[in-house]
Amino acid sequence: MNIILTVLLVWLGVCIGTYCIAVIQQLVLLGPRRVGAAFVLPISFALMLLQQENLVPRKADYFLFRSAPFIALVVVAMIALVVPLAPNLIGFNPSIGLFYFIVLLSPFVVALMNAGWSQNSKEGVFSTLRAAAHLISYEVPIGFAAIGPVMAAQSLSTQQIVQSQAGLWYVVWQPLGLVIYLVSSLFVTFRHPFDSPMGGSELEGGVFAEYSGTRLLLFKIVLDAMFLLLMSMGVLLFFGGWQGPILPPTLWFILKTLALAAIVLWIGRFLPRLRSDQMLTLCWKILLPASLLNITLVGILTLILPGGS
Amino acid sequence: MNGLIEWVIFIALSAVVLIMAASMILTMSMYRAGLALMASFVALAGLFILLDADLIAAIQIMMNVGGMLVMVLFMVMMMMDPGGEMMWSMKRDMHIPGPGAFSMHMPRGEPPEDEPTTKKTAQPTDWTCPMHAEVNSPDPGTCPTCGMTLIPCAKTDNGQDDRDSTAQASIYTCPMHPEVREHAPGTCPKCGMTLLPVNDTAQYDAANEQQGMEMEAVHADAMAIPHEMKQMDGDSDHTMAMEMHDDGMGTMDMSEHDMSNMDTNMSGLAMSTSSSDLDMSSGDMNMSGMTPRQNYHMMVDMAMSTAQLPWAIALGIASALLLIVLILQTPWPLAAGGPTQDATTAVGELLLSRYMIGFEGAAFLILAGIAGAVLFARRERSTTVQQCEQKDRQNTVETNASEKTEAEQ
Repeated sequence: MNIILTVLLVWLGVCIGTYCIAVIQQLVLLGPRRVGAAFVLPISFALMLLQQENLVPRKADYFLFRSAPFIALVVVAMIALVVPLAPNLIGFNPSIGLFYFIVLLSPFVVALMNAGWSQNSKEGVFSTLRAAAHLISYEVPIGFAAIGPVMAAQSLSTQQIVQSQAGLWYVVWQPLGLVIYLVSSLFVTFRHPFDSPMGGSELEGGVFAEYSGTRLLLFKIVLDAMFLLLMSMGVLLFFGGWQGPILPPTLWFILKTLALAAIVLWIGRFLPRLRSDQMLTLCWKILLPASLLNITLVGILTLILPGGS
Repeated sequence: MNGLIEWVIFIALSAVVLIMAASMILTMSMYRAGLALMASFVALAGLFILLDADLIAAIQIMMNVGGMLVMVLFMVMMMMDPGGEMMWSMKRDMHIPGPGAFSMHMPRGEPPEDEPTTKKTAQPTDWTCPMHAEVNSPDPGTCPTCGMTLIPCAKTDNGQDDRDSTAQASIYTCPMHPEVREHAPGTCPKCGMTLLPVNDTAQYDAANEQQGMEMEAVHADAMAIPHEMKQMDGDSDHTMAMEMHDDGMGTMDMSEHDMSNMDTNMSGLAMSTSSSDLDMSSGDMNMSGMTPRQNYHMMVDMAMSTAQLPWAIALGIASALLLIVLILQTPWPLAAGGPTQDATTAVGELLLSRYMIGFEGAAFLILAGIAGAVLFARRERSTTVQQCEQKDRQNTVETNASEKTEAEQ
């Protein structure tokens, strides 16, 4: 009973957070003058999708096409369990929380690949190749960027990592890691500069080309929730998690997460959209060596700084 | 109660592992096989979690699911038939019984001699109508009933010559590009398919000229086949024909017990093969228009299993039995009490103390590999860029020159 209650509560939190992300996205799109519209539009989109017919292409893979959104949903729900809102306010606290988080990114890729493949269309297969190639590539820098805080905190537990930042946030001496992490997380969720696998006019919506109605809504929710979780993990790794003066820890955590998400989405709007090969180049030739450099620097700093280890 | 739940979870996860492993072998779709393998590994990770080995479970998921993902990605990009549609449509259209991929098994015994061994079935005439099988004509022409161009159905007598020509087949052509004629076996310069011998070039040419509408004839053949061939749409018909030609034309082998119910289909397929004019003139007509040796090799190509499969199965069962015996013989538990230390901490400490040199060496090698890959990629790109620049320069020079000449004129 207790487990089910925890999962439901975590899901409620994820849903509210996802709505906040959608609102922030609309705010970034519409500008500060139309705040009301930004709050209403996500709901109206959701209602529109709920009214749509649930189309299934004629020769689609019956099982994979239907199950793909749910696989993605389950993966996101499992990831959400290890994000702590406050000390001891966590769904599930394994000693390897961060590793668990990074590991579960690959089943998320499986869900997206299934979605693209099962449509039995050219656009679907092409976007499958793109999305999967990019997601697999970008898991590497995300993992390496997250190793920096792990080395400093000497633990994989999310709680431990936050507690070790009591004196100094890791963003102060690992800015490179933060940048790599944020760029990769923009990528993993197909946010603006990196959204060509979902290419609007080019591939007819990418891996979601044939999805409509509630299944499309599920996918949209999952992508937003994934972004929220990546941002909250960024706050945990680099911005000291729930730590802060006066306000209660949970509120601090939520505020930091939403602020980080808003800043990242806003900066993303200023960057030009990248081509597929440029994205892979950015990953393998720039971010990967940079993340290795970051690990080396962090290792040296951990040894030098008195409070580092 | 708790123990009971653990048992139920254990049995459920083990069942998932086994079922997914079996379905990986049985499915014809490479994509699904990859997914099944992933599911099997994930269920195995679940078993690790049940044993309180979280770290190993996470590593299991990361390494295997990530690795399988890359594999599936490459399959979808590189392979001809990652979804298994060709294999599946063959199985369906030829009524091959048996579960999934196992129905296409290896032929038994040694490969037959190169010489045709069976007597050819002498048929009274050469040419027939794709729609009216009763029409027989000694010469090419049109069908008296419907006016369609006649197709050659089987080679008749003057047998000795033909048999010789089979042995001496010296001209090879591509099933898809009949204009390609080579004097040695190999692959088609246009599409890379394996070239097939043309036994009687004269007849080949004649037939080629006579049949202006070759593709239609093939389609009509498919229509004439009594069973589900009729229901095939254009797509699967095409893929089917492709597959046939790719693998050396003709039809699937069948084990003896399948023979009877496939007879009708086989003759139909033989016709459809012969209508593409490739080997209908081979001396031996064992229903599919192939010599037994060709048939044998095609089956080896087509089979989803390998000759070593029975041995592999026996070996697998033997090792499983050995493991079970080992587990039953071991006095459990091996060590008193559970692990006293956090596993990740222990692994980290060992890596940074006892296995330091190996760890650093591996890290250095990986780093060197990545740096080298980046360097190589850079160099390659720079040369292509240089080439492009050179081309651009040449183009501009040419355009300048042409502009100059125009101006002079």
